[in-house]
Amino acid sequence: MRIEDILLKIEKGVLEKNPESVQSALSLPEINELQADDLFQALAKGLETARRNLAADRFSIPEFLLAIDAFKTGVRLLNEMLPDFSRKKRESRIVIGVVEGDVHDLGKNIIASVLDASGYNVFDLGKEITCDMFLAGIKKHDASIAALSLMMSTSLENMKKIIQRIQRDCPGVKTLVGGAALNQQIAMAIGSDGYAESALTVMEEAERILQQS
Amino acid sequence: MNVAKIFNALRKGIIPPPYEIPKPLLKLAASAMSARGKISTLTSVERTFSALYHKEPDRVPVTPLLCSAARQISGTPFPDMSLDGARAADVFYSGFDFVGGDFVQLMLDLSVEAADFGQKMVYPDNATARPDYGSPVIREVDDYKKLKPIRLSEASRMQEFLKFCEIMVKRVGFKGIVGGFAFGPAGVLSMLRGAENFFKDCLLHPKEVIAASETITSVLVEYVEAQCEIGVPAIALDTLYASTSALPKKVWEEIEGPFVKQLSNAIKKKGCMVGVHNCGHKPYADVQLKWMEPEVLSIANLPDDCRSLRELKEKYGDRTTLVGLIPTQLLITGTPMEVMDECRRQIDLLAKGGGFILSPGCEYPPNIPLTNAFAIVEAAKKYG
Repeated sequence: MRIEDILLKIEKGVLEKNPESVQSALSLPEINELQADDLFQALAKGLETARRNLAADRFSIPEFLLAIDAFKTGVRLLNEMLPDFSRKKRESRIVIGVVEGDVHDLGKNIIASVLDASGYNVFDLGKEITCDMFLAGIKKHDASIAALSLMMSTSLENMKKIIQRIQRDCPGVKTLVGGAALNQQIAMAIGSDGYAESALTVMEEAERILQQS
Repeated sequence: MNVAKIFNALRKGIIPPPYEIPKPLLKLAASAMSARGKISTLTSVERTFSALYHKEPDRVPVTPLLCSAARQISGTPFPDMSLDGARAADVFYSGFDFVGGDFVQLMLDLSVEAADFGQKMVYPDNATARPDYGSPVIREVDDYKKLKPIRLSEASRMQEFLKFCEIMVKRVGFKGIVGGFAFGPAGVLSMLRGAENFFKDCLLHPKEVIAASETITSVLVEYVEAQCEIGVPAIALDTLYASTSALPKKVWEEIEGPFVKQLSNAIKKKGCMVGVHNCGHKPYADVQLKWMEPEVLSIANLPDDCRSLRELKEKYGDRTTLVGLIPTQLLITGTPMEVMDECRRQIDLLAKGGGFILSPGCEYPPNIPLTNAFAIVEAAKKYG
């Protein structure tokens, strides 16, 4: 198979939500002729097209979740095949988690994958993340952005306190929030540097807040 | 017309099942109420029924949808309210009494049914009850077919909810309308599986999901019938996943459409009204109306086929009574004046000709002050 066709098969495998197709492409003997970073970019391209489909209402949330699964299958296989694989990434590191008191992580999982595919180093802390856990994660991973997610308004006060602590203890780290209970106004009211309404706007918003002094 | 049922309800001091009264009579009564409303103040029941029959009442009916926010009035902890129907009734009634409104929607949390299907629950002190997603009942696809119907008589949370309904119906009496509640089968399954896995299963394993929906629905039919028999005149079916923030339209129709139709038919057969609640993003009003033919559509966001409130009223205003649409975020950050301004804007666009009940798009945020709930009720009186 031609190299271009292999990369296209990988990209299509993600877009068509077909992890088996991604796996089969990555198992071809010709893979050894390809740079690891090109393989990753093919995966990322597939997910980016899926993201644009989501924006245009051509994809639903469940379809996008399946595309993410196909993407993650590809990334896992790449890491297995090439343990020393270190893809070109942006400098910035992001820790992401659902704040304490909330366990709804579907949105967070989507955002983490989108940021990962776009080249950020993303460290997913999980859900019900306390203030101390966020701070520990920021320090451990030398994060530039702390991305906080919540779905329920009952955890808003927790989110506000976490943001205040981050601003106090980790000055220079930007905060980015998102979730069903939020909007731009609420994000500003609780002191966040940025607000990402969805997977459709998170990349631009991450770039914007990183450029803030 | 079942005169005995009507008479028994009136004797108990509760509203009879609306559809035990012939529709032409109800329409006539609504017209009379509307006419009377031009010269005097209507009762909450008169006001709401007038609006439900698309006649303009004296002013727009309103509900602040306090739900568990009302527990702030007495300081009742969340878990006490979630697990004890009598405590829940005390909380909800205190909200109705303290803040006001014409309609009380009974809704504890979205896991009442799932808990009785065996889902392990968490009862936080500062938030509504939720599943323990670390221990889902449906861990893998094969577990869908292991789901079995449960006896309603042995379903402790649903039984407490029925007790809650019974107390509220008697306590509110003719002072307002009490609405029952059931989460749709797709919603219940998502509580047992986790939303992310459930969404994927709907695309990858629809047969298994549909079979499980059948099992859940058989119990939900009994549950909504029991609410009707207790005296709740209207029941809200929550079909959250019929929205672009969840399932594609065609998938929702396959997975949940036929089953909520069964629930709707069961409720109407008991003489009661059907409401649909959907606080998802861009809800599918068209197919929800198609499958459930509800008297009421309660939404938080514009449907996927409407670009404005005006278009919403034009497209759906004659087919159902619209309930909503004050944004949750406005209630959190807005001043009472900003909330009242938004209420006024919505009243101006949606209340003409009846068919509108002013309300938040979803339950009032449980942990914020009640100030903006008062603002909503005040706006209805001032601008309605």
